[in-house]
Amino acid sequence: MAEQAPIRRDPKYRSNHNRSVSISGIIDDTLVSRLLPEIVKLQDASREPITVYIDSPGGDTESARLLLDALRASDQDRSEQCRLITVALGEASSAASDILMAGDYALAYPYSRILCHGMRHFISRPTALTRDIAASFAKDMAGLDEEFAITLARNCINRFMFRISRVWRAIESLDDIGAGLFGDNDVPTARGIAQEFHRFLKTNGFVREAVLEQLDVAGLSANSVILFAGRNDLLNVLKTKGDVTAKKEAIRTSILNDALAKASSETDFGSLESKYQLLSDFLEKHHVDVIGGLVSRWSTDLYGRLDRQSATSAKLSEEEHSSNLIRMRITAHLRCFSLWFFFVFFCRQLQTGDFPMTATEAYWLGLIDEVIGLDFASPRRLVENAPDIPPSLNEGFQGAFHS
Amino acid sequence: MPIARPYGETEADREFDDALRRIRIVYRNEDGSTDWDRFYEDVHRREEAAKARKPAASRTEGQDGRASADPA
Repeated sequence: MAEQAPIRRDPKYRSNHNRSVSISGIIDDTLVSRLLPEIVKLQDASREPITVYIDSPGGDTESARLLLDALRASDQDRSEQCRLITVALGEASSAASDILMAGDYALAYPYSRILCHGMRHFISRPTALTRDIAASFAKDMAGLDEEFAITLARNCINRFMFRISRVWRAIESLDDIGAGLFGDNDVPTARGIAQEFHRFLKTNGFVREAVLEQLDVAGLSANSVILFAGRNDLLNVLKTKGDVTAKKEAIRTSILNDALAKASSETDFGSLESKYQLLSDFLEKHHVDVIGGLVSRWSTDLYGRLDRQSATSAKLSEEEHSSNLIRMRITAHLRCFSLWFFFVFFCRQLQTGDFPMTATEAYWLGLIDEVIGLDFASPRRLVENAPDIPPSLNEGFQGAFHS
Repeated sequence: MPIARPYGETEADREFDDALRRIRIVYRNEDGSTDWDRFYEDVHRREEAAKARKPAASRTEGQDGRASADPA
């Protein structure tokens, strides 16, 4: 090994029962009432990380939200929020899985079970259900599913990118003739990401077929949105100045025109609604800061063989080298763009039905950081084992991909 | 579900990026990519060596919320 410094155990990535709360059983008002004083006490004692142990079938989403808000609260001195280490002990279903995945560092024991599903509305007393009321319920629940999917994607995208960065070379080497994750050209597609990632997970037997199918669907759908977003008429809408409502209306019209043009092959208005929602995200630039962060952190891992060969070629002039680096930066941005929209769509798929997962499956899908006791790559192992740089290497290093 | 803190905002983010930078320098392949396989093989070896040296009873070390050095 290049460096033999001691392993630095970092409490930011480890559970600590001395500063913990336990979410067990149904998440409801009673649980919130019991846990709030415990949370406040821990926060008053120090701003060190808080561990949240989870063994729950889920419950009320509002109660779960309240617990997360309380756990993330600052104090009168506006101190930094306590870092949250979430740990699935046994079951983390429904609202409990939301809490698990919202952790700054999410762990699960290998025998734990994780269940994701869409919003459910329980009618506790006899209600006169009319078509209008049912439609109104359906619309509200679809909106909440949408909100949860985007939030889940934002909470987990760096986990997914960590997974992609780890398997990148393995995917490239799956097939020497094959083009790797994005192909030999610069055009990334969400479908390509889904297919290659799917192939990797299937080859290694990490994830069951039923969950893998969701990756395919997500890839197909996100790809159609990305292609759609590249249409000139839509880009013209985006370039115009005006209020968001007018732009949304223009996009809606554009989507409907697109559907009419392809009426024979695409008649599912549910998918149109999804497209519209994704394009709204695109329009409102929710993704801009996320993609900027992904490029900054992960771009080095997103270059293909040809990129690397051209960047390190000794035959290039300084000018050619510099223009190559600019081109690679743009390529990395496009790839992060595809990865983000693919992952958002995958999170949407998780809101459409019941998806029970093992801890290992949740790990490989980028939903949690670490499975306790398994020899998988994790941010904890990365941080705790990162070597110090030998002075000679530090002074002389001119990283071709570092900008 | 509240959104996690934005990228780069926390001390942990900055430390993670610094760790990533150091690994990319030390485990850099000739073509500029990072040799993650070699890195994790080294990690595995260090962890196994640390485990072998450590009596089982002391494995809860560091659970008090403070970092501790493991003399691997």
